[in-house]
Amino acid sequence: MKLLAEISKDGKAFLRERRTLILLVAAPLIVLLVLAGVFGKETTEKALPVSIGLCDLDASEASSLFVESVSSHSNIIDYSERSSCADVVRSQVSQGRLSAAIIIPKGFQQGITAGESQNVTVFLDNSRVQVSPSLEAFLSAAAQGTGQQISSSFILSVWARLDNASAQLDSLLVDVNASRAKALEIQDRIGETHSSLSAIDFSTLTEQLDAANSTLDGAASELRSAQSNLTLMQGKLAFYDEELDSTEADLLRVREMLQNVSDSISSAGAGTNCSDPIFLAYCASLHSMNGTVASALFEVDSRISKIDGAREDLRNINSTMEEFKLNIGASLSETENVRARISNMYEFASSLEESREESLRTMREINSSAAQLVTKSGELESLIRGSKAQINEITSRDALSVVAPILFSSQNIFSSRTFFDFLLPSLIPLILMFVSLFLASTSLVREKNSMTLERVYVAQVPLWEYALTKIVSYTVVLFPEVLLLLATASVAYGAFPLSDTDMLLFLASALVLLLFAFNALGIVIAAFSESEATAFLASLVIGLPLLFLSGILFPFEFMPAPIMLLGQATPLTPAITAMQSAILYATPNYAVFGTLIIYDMVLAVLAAGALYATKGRG
Amino acid sequence: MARRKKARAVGVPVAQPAQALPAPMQDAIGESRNSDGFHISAEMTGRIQRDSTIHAPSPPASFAVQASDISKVYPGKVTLFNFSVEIPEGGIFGLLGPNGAGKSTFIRILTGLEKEDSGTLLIFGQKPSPSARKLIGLAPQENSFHPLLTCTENLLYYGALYGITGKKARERAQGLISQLGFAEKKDVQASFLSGGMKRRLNLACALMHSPKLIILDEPTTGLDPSTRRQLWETVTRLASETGATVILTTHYMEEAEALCGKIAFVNKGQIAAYGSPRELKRLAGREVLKLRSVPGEYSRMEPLIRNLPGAEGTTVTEHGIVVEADDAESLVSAITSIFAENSERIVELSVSRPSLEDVFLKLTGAQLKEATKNEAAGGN
Repeated sequence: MKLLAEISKDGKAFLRERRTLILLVAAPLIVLLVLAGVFGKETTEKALPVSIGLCDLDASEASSLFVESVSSHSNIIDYSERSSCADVVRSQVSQGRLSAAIIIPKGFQQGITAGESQNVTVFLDNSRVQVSPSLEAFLSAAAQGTGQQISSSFILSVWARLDNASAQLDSLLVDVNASRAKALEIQDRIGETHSSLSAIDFSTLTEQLDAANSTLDGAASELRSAQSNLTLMQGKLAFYDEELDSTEADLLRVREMLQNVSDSISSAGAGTNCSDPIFLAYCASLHSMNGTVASALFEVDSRISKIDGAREDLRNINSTMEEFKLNIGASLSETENVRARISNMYEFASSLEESREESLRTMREINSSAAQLVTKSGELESLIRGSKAQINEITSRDALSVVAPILFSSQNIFSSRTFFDFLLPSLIPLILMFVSLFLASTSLVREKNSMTLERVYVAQVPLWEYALTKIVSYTVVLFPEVLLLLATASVAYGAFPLSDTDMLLFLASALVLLLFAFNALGIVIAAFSESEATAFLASLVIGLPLLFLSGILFPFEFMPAPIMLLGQATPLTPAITAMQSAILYATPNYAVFGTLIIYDMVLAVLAAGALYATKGRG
Repeated sequence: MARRKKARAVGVPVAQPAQALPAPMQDAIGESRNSDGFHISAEMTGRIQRDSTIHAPSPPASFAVQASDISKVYPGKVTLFNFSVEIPEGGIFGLLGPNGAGKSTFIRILTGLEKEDSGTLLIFGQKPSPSARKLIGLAPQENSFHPLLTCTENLLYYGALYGITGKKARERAQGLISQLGFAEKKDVQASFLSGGMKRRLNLACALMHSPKLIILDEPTTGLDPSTRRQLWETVTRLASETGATVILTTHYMEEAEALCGKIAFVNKGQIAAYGSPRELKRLAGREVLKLRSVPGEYSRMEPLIRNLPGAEGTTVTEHGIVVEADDAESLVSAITSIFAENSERIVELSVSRPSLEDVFLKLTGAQLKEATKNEAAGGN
């Protein structure tokens, strides 16, 4: 009943305090309205509505590329034409007229072409703490983008050179293959030659030379014998020639006689009519006789002719023999030469054998070299093919992928939402934190100062019970504020469907637990505050750090580790987490209820303790 | 110790005899003498004791409050030092004293708002437990109710603190509203009430749980004389109707005199004097009767008057004759007869009695003046 009385009393007091009531209703709505206006910008917008000064001392293609990438998302004011433009833009930034200034040094492009990294100086107005980091990131990204473009074109030229090298490697490969074929051929030939050389039997050659020597001796002897015989035969031939001469003379005389006979017969038959039968027999006889004589004459002529022929033959033979003798003489001389040559051949065979061994050795070396050449050419071919494959692999890559192997392709999950949509789940607990802190602390201080709290003490209400009662009472009194904020978030800003009762229940529960915690904290503040102003200021002193520690304005990730831990250890943080889990991610995180309940219990104990500790004061 | 025991036996709380204070406490309290060099404890205690012994009624059956040697020290200031008082049940008991004398501290200790450093306290014979302290109803010096609630709502709220709810609470609130005379304002927001009504509401809030001990801490401060007197009547009626013991702290001597059966003067954290208003006033001297007559032959009448029973002394001046007596009013008839017999026509007659303020000034020197001056200057 005390609880109901307290709730009734506090509720009526708030309802009748019109200005406070109006502020309680209006202030959060105004805060939401103002912040919705301030943070209503879509998160996907890339353009930075800031002025950036430019001092382009290079005025080159590369610098233009950079400036173009910057100007596409911001307002560039070009001071490049002014003298000492670097000083001018720096001055403009330091006077707050420009958010940032870019100075591109002279020789920018030349340096890049020479492979030297170029430094673009950027002056930032870091007094604009929210804009400055974004601007720096934007300019850095622009510089990176321009660098990528420049690097891409450089890499494309490298690719072309590599393609050229690859083509040269093709011809080299042909040469290598040819060299290997040659080497294989050499190997074959050397193999054959080696076999041949190896097959040469120099002992047989020596034997043959010995046999040849012997044969030569026999031949020389035979030649000498033949020479003697030829001389004898020439003697005989001279005799035969004389004989033939005598025979021929005989025959000539026979012929002459025969000729005389023939002539006599021819004269005997002359004047006879052989057609007259009387002479027939005669004429026949004459004719027969004439025939016989003619035949004999012919025989003699034939014999003489034969003798002439024989004599001619003898002369020819003799001549031939003479020639033969000369030849034999020449052969004998030649034999001596041959003998000398055979003697030389002995020496030659010996040196030839040595040469063969040397050649075989050399051939083996050549063969080995050829084999190495084959192997190496294989390896070289592999290398060339590997190199070509590598070149192909390299040149097949997109130049941009080399410059920027990882492309940043971000996709905003909540693309259509505004900053305010993200802020709203944090704002509601924040507003309730301040409202509950102010309300609980100042109300209780008012009760303290109006001595009504003393009446409670005099009534011997246990302070733990009173602390709990006040916390619950303020929580109940502020519950309509919870509903109002949730309804506004749902209806005005579409944070969640109001018809989703589970969601509504979750959000309301989280906020009630938050109210409980900060009402308890408000009571702690009130217990130690002497006036409403003190309570108000104390609430601010506690509330403002909690605001900054809550991760709303400054993300936890940017905080130093101890501060981050501190920030996560405030009752505001789990409430914000709960709101974000439900409103942003549509997955209510019931786990934070446990944390909030622990905070509630701890702060309720603190509130009771504070009342006990300060009961005797004033 | 013997004197204190004796005083208690007759139900009269006694101011402590002067004791040697520890040096720091003496510094904090200051000199225990008034501006005339009057040693409070040495002389006054004795007289009070004697008077009490003589005039005290039969011992009461029980005490509402028994405080013995209560001390309370704040950093740099001793507020109560061996504060002992026994307040009998029933009637209105006044606690008088200048600002900072320790009245409020004693009340805060009594109500449990603060804890004594030493000493013992009994409330209706019980140790000061929450249940014992629930018998107390406190109407603080400043109005302590919720200005945005109506009178009835305030009463119902304070009733709920004591577990009085529902119909019983509504009936009790209604009864108090009627009893204290603000029925017409029962549904008016407290902030819209007049000063007197606010004081009544402040009082009513303390009475919701029908306390046996009602503490009224300067209930009429800041009220106009008319409203103050109305409140006096209310308090008197309340005390008689409820039979509760009322402890009243006030700066107004006439208020204490009008309302309180017994009064304790508190000074520098101790009881400086205790008794009924009449008993206390005797501490300041006799009543004085002044007469002026025509033709003014006072020398003839002076021996006659001096010999009257009850006349303690006479003085003739050029302006008339001054008679001192314990009860001057009882001599008026005899003295006027003497003047008539001597053909003296009385042109001026006045009786001067010492007020509680005189007692107070005698006990505390200029402190009350300073307190009053400060109050006037600071509005407090």
